[in-house]
Amino acid sequence: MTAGPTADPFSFFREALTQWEKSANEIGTKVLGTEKAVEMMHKSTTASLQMQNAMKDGMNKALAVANMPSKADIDALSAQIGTLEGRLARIEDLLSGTGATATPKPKRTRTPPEKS
Amino acid sequence: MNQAATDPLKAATADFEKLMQRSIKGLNYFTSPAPATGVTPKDTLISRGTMQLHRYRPLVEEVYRVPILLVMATTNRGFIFDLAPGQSLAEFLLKAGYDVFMLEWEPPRADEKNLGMDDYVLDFLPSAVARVLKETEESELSVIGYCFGGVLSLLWASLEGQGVLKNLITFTTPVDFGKMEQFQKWSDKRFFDVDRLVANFGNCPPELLFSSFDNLRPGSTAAAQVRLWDNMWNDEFVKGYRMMERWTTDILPLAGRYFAETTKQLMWDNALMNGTMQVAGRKVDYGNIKASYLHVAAQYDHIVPTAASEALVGMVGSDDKQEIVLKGGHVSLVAGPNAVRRLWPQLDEWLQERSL
Repeated sequence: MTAGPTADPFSFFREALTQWEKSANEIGTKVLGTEKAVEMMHKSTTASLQMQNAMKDGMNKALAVANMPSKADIDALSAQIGTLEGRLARIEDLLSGTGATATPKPKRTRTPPEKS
Repeated sequence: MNQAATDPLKAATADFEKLMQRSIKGLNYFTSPAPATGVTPKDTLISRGTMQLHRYRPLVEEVYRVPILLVMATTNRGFIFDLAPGQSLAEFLLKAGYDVFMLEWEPPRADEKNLGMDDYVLDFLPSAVARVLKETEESELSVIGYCFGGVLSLLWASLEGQGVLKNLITFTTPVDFGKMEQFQKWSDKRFFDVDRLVANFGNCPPELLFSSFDNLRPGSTAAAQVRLWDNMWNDEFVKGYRMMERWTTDILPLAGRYFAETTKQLMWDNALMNGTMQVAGRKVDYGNIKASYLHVAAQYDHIVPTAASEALVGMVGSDDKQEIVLKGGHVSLVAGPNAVRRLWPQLDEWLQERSL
């Protein structure tokens, strides 16, 4: 059954959009899968990493001069807090006996419904 | 046929109304909060760094004996299992009479960069399983893994699952990483220095993962934006779009060592297919899995093509095993209106007899 007449000016664009999407995906994945594109992608990632490293070194030096903690120092603190968190969880489990919660305990006797 | 389709004046009026609604609701879109997700009541049983184990509160008085543990992929949030009331796999399973738990992940902290595959497979998963069994006072369970959550579930099942695993279900789970062609090209070891990336960033940045997923269909993001505007008059469409968009863009970082191991063992060496996969020095053999097994693949999956998972069922050692391929994509297989109609009823039917 075909749709009736419509005044919707966008119906044509919907079909065009679907076609465009299909073509863009096909061409895009082909282009992005070429060796050149992959090489470029990773080169730009490497360049950005190098830049970040240089900035990180500079920032660490500046923080050291200002007697401020670096990201590595904060990470170390975070690791210690994580260890404490784990210990606390284990202590909580021990204190609550089995470690089981107070969630209602349903009967575990359900069977599948009869098939008609 | 409705009246508007036969009467040009009524059709034109309806189209004009849609045009007006687009403008009015388009403004609301930017000022209203995103729809709530993951609202099915649950309790957190374990919160240990990146690892989070939740138990959904049972919705019926009598459940099947065997509890279910949902295992989320490490790249995404677990609320894909619990999008919204009526569109929540967790809620569906609860109402169908199952006792449901979920293992999901918080973004690994900077100090968790040294977590590896062994931590996920031989610590987090076994801890979650032990807690599920303790909570339910049962001796066995069903595990359902989605995408890479399926890979982790299979690895755990082959190494530690004997005796406690009754049923294993995986959704869109790869085993032949050589068939994930685009990811193969992008992780070409001639150009991709994974050790350097991890050394610099600690954990693999989510932006890198997001762009990889996004570049699998480079035209679809722009097309989706246009479709959103076109459907702005349709509240249900907009709600669904916003929930899915929130999930697909909320990518988690991956722990550095885990990411490097995944890249080297699975992407470069295709170790599962070549029979060389090891976790903490222990050889992985899916043939050790004897539990009932179901794999569900999505016909139009652009992330894990069916070719990447079709060898799975043959490799698993169970006598009771099956693969089904359903219409849909990587996400629409498990969540959204298509999943409600296609996957969930089949999942329930498969599980019923095996959960006694």
